[in-house]
Amino acid sequence: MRRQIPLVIALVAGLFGALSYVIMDPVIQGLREQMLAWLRLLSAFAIGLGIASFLRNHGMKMIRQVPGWAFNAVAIASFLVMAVVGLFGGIDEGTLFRRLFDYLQAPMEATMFSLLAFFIASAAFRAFRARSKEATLLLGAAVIIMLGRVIDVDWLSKVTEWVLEIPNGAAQRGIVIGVGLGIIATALKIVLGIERSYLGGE
Amino acid sequence: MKKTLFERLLVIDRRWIFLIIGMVVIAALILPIKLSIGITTPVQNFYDVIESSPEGSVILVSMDLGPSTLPELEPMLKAVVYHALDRGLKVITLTLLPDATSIAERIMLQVTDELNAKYEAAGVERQIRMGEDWVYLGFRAGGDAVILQLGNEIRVAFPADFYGIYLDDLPMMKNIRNYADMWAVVDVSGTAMPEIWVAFAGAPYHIPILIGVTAVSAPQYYAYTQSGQMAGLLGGLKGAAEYERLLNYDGAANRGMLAQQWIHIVIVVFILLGNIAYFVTRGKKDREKSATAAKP
Repeated sequence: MRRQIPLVIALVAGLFGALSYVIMDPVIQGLREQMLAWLRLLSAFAIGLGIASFLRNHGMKMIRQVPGWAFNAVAIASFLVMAVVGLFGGIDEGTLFRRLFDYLQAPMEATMFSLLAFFIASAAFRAFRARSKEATLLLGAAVIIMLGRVIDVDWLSKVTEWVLEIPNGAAQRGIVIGVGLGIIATALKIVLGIERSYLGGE
Repeated sequence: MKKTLFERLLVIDRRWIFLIIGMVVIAALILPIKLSIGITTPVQNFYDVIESSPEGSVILVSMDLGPSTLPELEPMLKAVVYHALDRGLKVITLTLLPDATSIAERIMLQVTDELNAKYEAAGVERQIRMGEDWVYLGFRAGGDAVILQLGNEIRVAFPADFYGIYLDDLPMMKNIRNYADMWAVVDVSGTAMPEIWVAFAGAPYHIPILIGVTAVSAPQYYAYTQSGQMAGLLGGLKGAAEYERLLNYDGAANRGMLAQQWIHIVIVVFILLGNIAYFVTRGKKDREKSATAAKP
């Protein structure tokens, strides 16, 4: 029974969600709006779950004093500072929360992301080798795209656009279709109760 | 045995590479060199949709970016919002990512100040005002559920704006209820949100979707632009720079593109050098092996 109820809910919700897309009856559409409102509530709860998981993960490491636990303490302290400052001081323009976000968090995150450029350059020098025909083709395409995106030369720009639109477009289309079919298959399996891994347990 | 230049090159300390990259970026940002930027078709299409919209049309701008993608996506957001407001369009801004809540507000306020300063300097009697020319709805959790609800009635998902003012009390929102009252949807995102906008807004409600994404993500959306599911595409800092060039707008993208140009050239040189060193040393090793094998 414990496993049957979630399966029935998944079946009913899944079928209703699909049918409400095409049935324009006002009653069905009204129920659909309610379902969407519930979906938004569940998403908001997911944020809460994420916070709980974050605190538990870092908290346990701090309590057990694993190597590097000081960084876990910094993570929790940063979280608490932002939460308290935001909750009690507001998040509007000019508040401490906004200053902490704009002048600390945003530049730090952007800097972390920007470090990728250095590692890509190093990796490109060390690992990007024309060891085989396929690797040579990949190398050639990479060089064309990298130069074509930044140098305004007519023939190079045309070749770059052609590579992006034709071979790349074709490959991406295949991937998107494949992913779409996979999503449909997985969704059908979940709705019909064939896929039950989300129930957990045995 | 003494190593050749190429053998030493293959095992070079990567900190030298980091140093070269750092110096090139600094030099590019300091030197006052102008860059020539060509305009690509997806960016031109994006621009044309906004440019062809009648004055007073409404566009929805979803700012789904976090701090990590700010350097790439903020310039294109500013350029798009600047373009829309300057053309007299009404802009509804929202975000589906909690990270972007304050970023979105900051961008709207900055562009408003910039435009108002421009009009004042030009002696034009026009002011961009929140509530009349743009509204900021803030963040809502739910992603696709929110997108679907906007197709029916905006007030269900957003009864009030970010500042707590009910939408019915905002002059701009009086006759705007859903996508049918909008000209286009713009989504600037560092995540997979563009596909969700296409699936849940573009396809069922037939509203043009314009997207701005990071350069890494842009190639995967060419299939969508070719099928017409996305009406325009801005890819990374280059896309933002092209848009600024079309607008004749002096933004951060054009300034950042010089650094990107030089870095791309440096990386290509690194790749070529690495391959030359690899093939030269491999050839030398093969010759040494043959010589050893030939010895009795």
